[in-house]
Order: sequence, then structure tokens, then C-alpha cells
Amino acid sequence: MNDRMDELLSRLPSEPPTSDLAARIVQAVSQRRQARRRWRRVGLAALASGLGGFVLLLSSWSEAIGVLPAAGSLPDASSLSQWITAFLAAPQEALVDLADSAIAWEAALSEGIGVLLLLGIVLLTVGACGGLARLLVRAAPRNGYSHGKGVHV
Amino acid sequence: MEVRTSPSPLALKLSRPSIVYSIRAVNIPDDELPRRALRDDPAAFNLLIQRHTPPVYRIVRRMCSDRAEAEAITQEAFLRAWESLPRSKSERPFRPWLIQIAVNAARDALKKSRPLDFADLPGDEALQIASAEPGPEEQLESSEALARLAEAVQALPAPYRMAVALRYEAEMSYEEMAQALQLPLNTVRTHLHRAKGILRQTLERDR
Repeated sequence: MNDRMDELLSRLPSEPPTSDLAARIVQAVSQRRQARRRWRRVGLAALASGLGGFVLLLSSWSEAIGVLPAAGSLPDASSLSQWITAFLAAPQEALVDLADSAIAWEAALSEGIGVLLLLGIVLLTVGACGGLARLLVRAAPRNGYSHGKGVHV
Repeated sequence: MEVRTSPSPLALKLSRPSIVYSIRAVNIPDDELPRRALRDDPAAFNLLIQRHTPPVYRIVRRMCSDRAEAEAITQEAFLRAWESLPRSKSERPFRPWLIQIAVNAARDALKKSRPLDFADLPGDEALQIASAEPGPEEQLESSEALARLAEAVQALPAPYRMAVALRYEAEMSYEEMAQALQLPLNTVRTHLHRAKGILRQTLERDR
């Protein structure tokens, strides 16, 4: 009896795929391939940028040390609470004061920073952002399908 | 005066290296193509897609009720295969490996649309499989009747549908099915046995 069912199940009509399905899959794989190449290039560029930035930072280390006290002169918790109190009392004046002190801080910082140090910081930041973006793209699931454990592909 | 004739479109096509390569590649066996694809040869994986899309689609189509969903799952299976190619074992034949990936993609998609609850599967006691009388399948001859059986297969619970698809569409052995479904051999046998029982009951009811 079951043999007869086996035979029938083997003869079940099956629906052929649409004629362009294979071409669409080829295109999808090609897009994925191009995206992977693009991200590989981004990764390499991020690595190069990060390394370049690191080298520049090392070469202008003495400048960086000189800038550290200026960079460290950011407002602490008590001055922040004072500013909040002043802001609640007179918002306009507090904002003007804040802008003034920000400009003064930036001026003090930029006096000590040379082009190399600035370029180094920028390159290091760009490298870190590129590397982070590459990591996030790699971790994202494809097409919304989940990836299970073990040999599940 | 020299008369220059322009080359025919076919000659122009054949002069392109990629076309010439793909014509040569048609004769390459399946197991060689993944190795070539790994050596960054896009034509090799494209040829695998051309060869395996129809069978993989038919298997997946048997598992799901919707053509568009079956096409999306087939595409996802090839994308996953391409992504996992560097991690695959080269000694393993390509087709069963691809079918396993397709089964996993189908499972994920079906799980998303409707959770597969194995606890809800009917037990043997619910099915009257062992019958000595000639069954309804004896009367199934016409294509219309086969279409009715295909509909009954579509109405099966997803795990049973997968077992039927792998056994009769992919023509896999029980061992290959167990590997593709990542289930014990006996479970696979039981699923298929129960699937046939349900189909028989459905056909009896519709008779």
C-alpha cells in the first residue's frame, strides 16, 4: 500500500521555477560579491588611515603632551552644576558665557596643536569609524533570516 | 579597394573571454566548481547557480505554499552557500550541502511566518495507516487526482512536508535526509510514515 503511495508521491506534479530566477540569483550573488569587495576596501582604508594616524600621533607626541593640560581643563561636575543653576536663573547670559568659554577652550587647545597632530587625530578617528562600520556590517543578519547555531548555515 | 566585413554577432560574443570561459566551464563537474569559485572565479559559482536552481526550487516549492516565498528562499540558499563556501568541507558533495542550506533557509522563513511546533504534530494513534483494504491511492490515476495529492501535501505540517520534499523531490536516502534535516534517523522515518498516513486519510476523506 505504502509502495503505491511512494510511487504516487514520486510522480507529483512539480512547478518549474520562473525562467529568470537563476539570472536573478546570479545578480544577487554578484551584488553581494561587489558589496563584500567594497567593504574589504573600506576595511583596508580604515586600517591604513588608523595606522597613519597612529604614526602621526607618535611623531608629534611632544605636542600632544603639551596640549593635554588644555584638553583636561574641561568643566568638572561642580562647575557644571553651577552653570545649570546660572542657566535656570538667566538662560541667555549663561549660554553666552558657555559660548565664550568654549571658544576660549578651543583657542587654548588649537594654539598647542600642530598640523601633524591634528591630521593624526583625524586619521585615527576616520580609521576607528571605518573599522566599526565594517564590524557592524559583518555582524548584521542577511535578508532578515536568522542564523542558528552549529552547522546551521 | 579593400572591402572589410563586420564580424557576426556570434563571433563577437565568442571573442569575449568570459563567454568562451563559460562555454568551457559547462563540462566541469560539480565538485570542481566550488574549488574554482573559492579561487575568486565568479563564472564557476554562476554555473553552479544555473545548474542547481531548478532542483533546489522544486524542493523548496514543495516545502512552502507560495511561489514568491519559494523563490526568495532559493535565492537566500544560494547567497548563504556563497557566503559559507570558504568554510565548507571540500570533500563533501555540493548538492546535498546546498540542499541542507536550503532546508535551513526554508525552516527559518517558515519559523518566521508560522512557528514549527513539533509538539502539535499528530501521533500514530490519530492515523489509521495499517489497513488491509485497497486504499484511495489505488484509485489515483489521473493528473487531476495527482494534483489533489499535491494539494494534500501542501496542507501537511511543515516538518512532514520537508520530509516528503527531500524524499520524493530530492530523492534522498533516509541517511541523507537525517543529515539535511539535522534530525535522528528514526525521527525522519516517523515523520515520513506519519505524512503518508495523513495523506491517505485526506484522500479517503475527499473520496
